[in-house]
Formats: sequence, C-alpha cells, structure tokens
Amino acid sequence: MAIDQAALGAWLADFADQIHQGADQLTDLDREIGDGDHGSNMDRGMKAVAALDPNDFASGADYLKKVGMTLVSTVGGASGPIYGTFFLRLGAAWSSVNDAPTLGLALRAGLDGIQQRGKATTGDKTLVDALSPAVEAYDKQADQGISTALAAAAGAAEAGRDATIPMVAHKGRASYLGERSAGHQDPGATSMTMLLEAAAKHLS
Amino acid sequence: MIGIVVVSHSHALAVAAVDLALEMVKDSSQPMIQVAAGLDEQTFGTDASAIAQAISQLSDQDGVLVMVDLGSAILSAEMALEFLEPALAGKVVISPAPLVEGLVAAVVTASGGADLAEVDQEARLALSAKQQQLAPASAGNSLKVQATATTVSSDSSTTAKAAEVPPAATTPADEASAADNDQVSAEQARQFRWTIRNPHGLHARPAARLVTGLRGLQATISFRNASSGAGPASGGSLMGIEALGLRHGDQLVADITGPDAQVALDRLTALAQNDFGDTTA
Repeated sequence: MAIDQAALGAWLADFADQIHQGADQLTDLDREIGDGDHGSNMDRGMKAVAALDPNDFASGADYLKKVGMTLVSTVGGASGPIYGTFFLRLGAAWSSVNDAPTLGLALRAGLDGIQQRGKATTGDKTLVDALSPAVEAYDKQADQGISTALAAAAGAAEAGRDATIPMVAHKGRASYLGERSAGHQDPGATSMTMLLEAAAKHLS
Repeated sequence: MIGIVVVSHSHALAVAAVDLALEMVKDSSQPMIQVAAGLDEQTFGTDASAIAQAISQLSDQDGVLVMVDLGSAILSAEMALEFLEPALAGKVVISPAPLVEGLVAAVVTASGGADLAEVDQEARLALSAKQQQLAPASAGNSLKVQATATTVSSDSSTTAKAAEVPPAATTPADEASAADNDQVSAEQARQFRWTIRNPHGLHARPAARLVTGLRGLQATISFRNASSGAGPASGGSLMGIEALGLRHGDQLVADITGPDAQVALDRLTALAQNDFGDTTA
C-alpha cells in the first residue's frame, strides 16, 4: 500500500483545518451566488470527519467510506451527497491503490461518482471545474510518481477554480441567478481545490 | 396503501406540509408518512442516511413515494436509494412534483388506495393544476399532458372514447336538451349536474372529499365545468378536478359509466347536497 491510514488521516485533518480557516471566505462566496451555507456546512462536516481516528478502522478503504458517510449525514447541503459520494467511491476503489496510476483510477472513480450524483459537467460552475482538470493533470504526470502527479493536480485545480469566475452557473442554487452568477468564484470549486492542495502536501 | 416520505431542508417545513396535507383526509384513511428533513429541528439540511432509514420504516407498505424540496434534497434522496436493499429500492419513486402541492395530491390519492404509479402521476399533475389556474395561456405543455390523460374532448359532438360514453348514454350533443334535467339515466351510464353552492368554489378540500368519496367503485367518472368549458377531468384526479376551476355558481357535470354507475351517482348526489363537506353558511 502506497498510502497508509495515518497519511489519509493527516490529509483530511489538514483539509478540515483549511475549511475551518476558510469557512468565512467560502460562506461569503456562497452568499454572492448561493444560499450562503457552503463554509458552515463543510466546516460542520469536516469537524465530524476530523473527529474520526483513522487507526480505528481495519483498512484505508473502511476509513474513507466512513468519511463519506459522515459527510452525507453532517454537511446538510448538496455538498454532503457530493463530497460523500466522492469519498465512498474513493473508498470502494482503495483496495486496488498501490501506486500512482492506481491512485489516479481511484480519483477518477470519485470524479465519476460526483458527476453521476450532481449531473454537472465542466463549465457548469461547480467543483467539477476544479476536480476534472485535476484528474486529467494527475493522469498526465502519473508516471512521475504520486507526489509529482498530485502537485500537478493541485495546480490544475487552482486554475480550474479561477476559471469559474466568469462562468454562468447551470447547477445548484447559483443557477437560479443565471447571468448574475457570473463574476463570482464558485465556492465548491474553491473547497475542492483545498482538498487537492492538502492531498499534494500529505500523500506520496 | 403506499407510504410517503417527505424530504426537506427544513424540519419545520416538512412537518407543516404534512399537517396541511393530512387535513384533507380522514384519520382512518391516512397513509403512513415519514419525515426526513433538516439535520435537526433547527439546522437546515438533508441526510441521505436519514432518508434511507425513513424509507425502510415504510418497507411493509405497497410502495413509497418520496417528496422532495430542492437541491440537496434531490441528491440525498437519490443517494438514499443506493443505500437500500434492491428489493425495497425497486418499489420507491422520487417524485418530481412541487413539494406542497404534490404532497397534498399524493396524500389524497394514496388514502383512496391508489397504487404507486397512480399516486406518482397525480402528484406530477399538481403543478399543471396551479399553472392552469394562474397562467392558462402559458401552461400549454403540461395541460396537453393532462388532456390526453383524461381522453374525452370537451366541446366536440364526437365522443373521443367510446368505452367511457356508451351509445345509450347522453352525448355532449344532447347537452342542450339534457340541461333542464338533473340526471339523465341510461343503461350503466349516468349523468349528474350540479350548480356549485360553495362560496369559494370547489377548492382543494371539498375536491379532495369528492375524490376520496368516489374511490373504490367500478365506475368511470368524468367531470367537466359546463360553465367555463374546462375539462374533462378524471373523477380520481384531485388535481384534474381542481384544474376545472369550478367557482361558486358554475355548473359541474359528471358523466358516469360502469357497473357501479348508480352507486357513484348516489354518492355524488349525497356529497353535493352536503356541499362536499363545506359549510356554506
């Protein structure tokens, strides 16, 4: 196994920390184009995740599935089933992860799960605009090892996040605003970028 | 009877919507309803695990219709189906109907013993009934759906569906001559005419009593609003009847066929004379 449970725990503890520190920013972004709850919802969910001890689980797969179910039951907004599905799919694929290419497959399984759940595609001004280019960038660098590939993924997520600013939302609460959603960075793409930046720091 | 799960971001909203809907039906015929709404009584949110649990509590019902509000309620309900045993998930439908209107239609229809497909269909019509009342010109698409579902054209002298109007029955062409009679009898076919006395017309609650009062009969009942030309609407469809827009003074016409036509006529007469349960004072 390339990535042990302690590393997974460190990754998600860092993400929980980023979310907590960025909660006001995420909520402000969401207040511009949504219902203003993304920061507080994700903070509540990730606090519950951070309270889990990765060593209590028989495997990394079990831990990731529990992370998914915890988010499903504690986030409350659409990010609950969306991030929840990401971690459930990652968990389902985890037993075959043993190198950089297989981690890429697991990340893609998570992306596919998110797209099936939310029916969003790139350009809809959602977290898919950060995660989809990140998975593509990861795959291109997968032969260079996990650290290099994840660094490329985080960079692509940041660019994807920034690219959501001029977009008009087609999914979620922001889509009610139509053209008025343009000019604001998508909060979901912002939190997803935090997740990938934390992954690049802790997984190798 | 089928069961109903109400999914909303707000616990208070879901509980109030359930209260509003249950007001339409007698205690003895209420369907089982579970609420999966809010992360707790104060915090807005939906939880796929809680929705799956609510559905499981209705696993002994003949089916489960899940009513949802918006956004994460839809995503969480879809996710909940993935958590269920396939056998149970197979008899669950997530309704695309608007929450409040759909829930009222679903509760009334379910209380009459309708199956899951019928309750689902009736809940879907909840939106078109509202559109017809508020924006008749712009609601064309959904109204077409409703018109084809009820099959009989309202103003033509040709009967659109022979099975519903046997040769011996009055056809719309006879309407002028039949207009002075309250009832026109024919072999297993009856017609009923009634001038609505309810001050607020045949609104949701009396219409619900009409639908539930006529349930369980072997009779096809088709309602029209002879004053406005609206209809026809199936006698089993709360939303169809509401869409007739029957106001005080409008004439309700019911064409009834089938083995229980006389029973249906008797019940209809009794319901009407009681102003469909409304006090008209």
